[in-house]
Amino acid sequence: LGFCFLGLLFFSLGLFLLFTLWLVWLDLLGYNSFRESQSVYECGFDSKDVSRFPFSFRFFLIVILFVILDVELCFVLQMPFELFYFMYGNRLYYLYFIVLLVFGVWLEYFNGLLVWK
Amino acid sequence: MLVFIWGLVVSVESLILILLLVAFYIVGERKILSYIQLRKGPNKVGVIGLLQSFADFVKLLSKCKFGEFSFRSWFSLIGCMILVSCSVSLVVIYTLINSNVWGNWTLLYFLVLSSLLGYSTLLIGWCSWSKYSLISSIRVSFSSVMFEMVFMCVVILFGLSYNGYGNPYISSILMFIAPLVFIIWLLVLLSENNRTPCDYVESESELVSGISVEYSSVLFLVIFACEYLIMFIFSWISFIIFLSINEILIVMCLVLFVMMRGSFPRLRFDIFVSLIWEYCIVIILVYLMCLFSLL
Repeated sequence: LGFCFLGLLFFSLGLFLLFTLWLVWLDLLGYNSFRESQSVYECGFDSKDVSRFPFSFRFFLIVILFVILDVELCFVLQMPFELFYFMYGNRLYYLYFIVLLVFGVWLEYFNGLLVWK
Repeated sequence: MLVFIWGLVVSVESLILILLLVAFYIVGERKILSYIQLRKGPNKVGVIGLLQSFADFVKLLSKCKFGEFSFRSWFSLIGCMILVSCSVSLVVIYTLINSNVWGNWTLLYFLVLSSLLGYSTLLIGWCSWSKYSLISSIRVSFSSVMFEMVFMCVVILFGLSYNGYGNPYISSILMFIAPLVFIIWLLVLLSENNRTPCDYVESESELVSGISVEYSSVLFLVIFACEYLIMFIFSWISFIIFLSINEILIVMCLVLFVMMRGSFPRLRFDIFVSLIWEYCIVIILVYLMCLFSLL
């Protein structure tokens, strides 16, 4: 528990560090800024708009596959704590679950969903 | 209460020492890369160029500063904050594990922090209004997602072998139980730390300086230093999980990163994706199944 506390403490310390760095940085302001350095890194034109990105289906699909596998592995994360106390009844269900997981990945592989193309 | 103060002091000291290592590692990387290319690296500043990082640090702090948010949204500061907080928390965990303080779920803290790091690069890149940073942030977060997948499988393998996710120092033969996993892990570690042959952040100036294209002085320093800090921490944890030795292997791993940067071209993105998803994940899941059925 003290571990947890220390982690949170340092988390906030990191935030505070960055915030003070930023304040120091703002404080030392006063340099003249040219017009080119105030715009986005682009040659020949000034863009005032946020750059748009067309939706890419491939990224989305593979990230969905990752989410499914992630959730399944979160269930499997519990396994080492029960394993060493000889999980009698649960062992079969864990086996079924892992077999289903691997079967799902095999199906995705077989249908060609994992390739970028 | 005294424990907290001790923890704070030890973590700050460790952070300072790691940042010093990062400074000299940057110079070392430039010199090793240059000798690979048959030229000398920076050799004017210090004795043989050793103080180059400190000169760069002073230069970056005194560069021109822009307070307006005309080329980068204010939201990007949140990305930098997440980056700094996560890397500092990683240093805290590094310190505590080396001081023999660990709980039941120490490795899972690592997993959580590596997931949060993915958010930081996404925010830093997306909030700059430049298409180069947008493209590179999408690619980087994607590869970081795949790293997280492999990391989770490796953590489960560790947990199955050593009864929980506690002290990682007890693991001394995981590399010999699962050698292929170690090779896959090294490849994926390269992609997480954005090193060639998997650097999709800036692609060696294909996307001009990638996600950090609109960042000047202090924030650029922060992004740059945190990237190397994370590289150090992850090379430490990878050699702790698989073998149980640390000091000399961390240095060897860092030099290996530099040599790989100097020796290999970049993997094409679709080749990289199909490599991870078709081959590496399959191998790791097969290992998981075998390890489960053996126990």
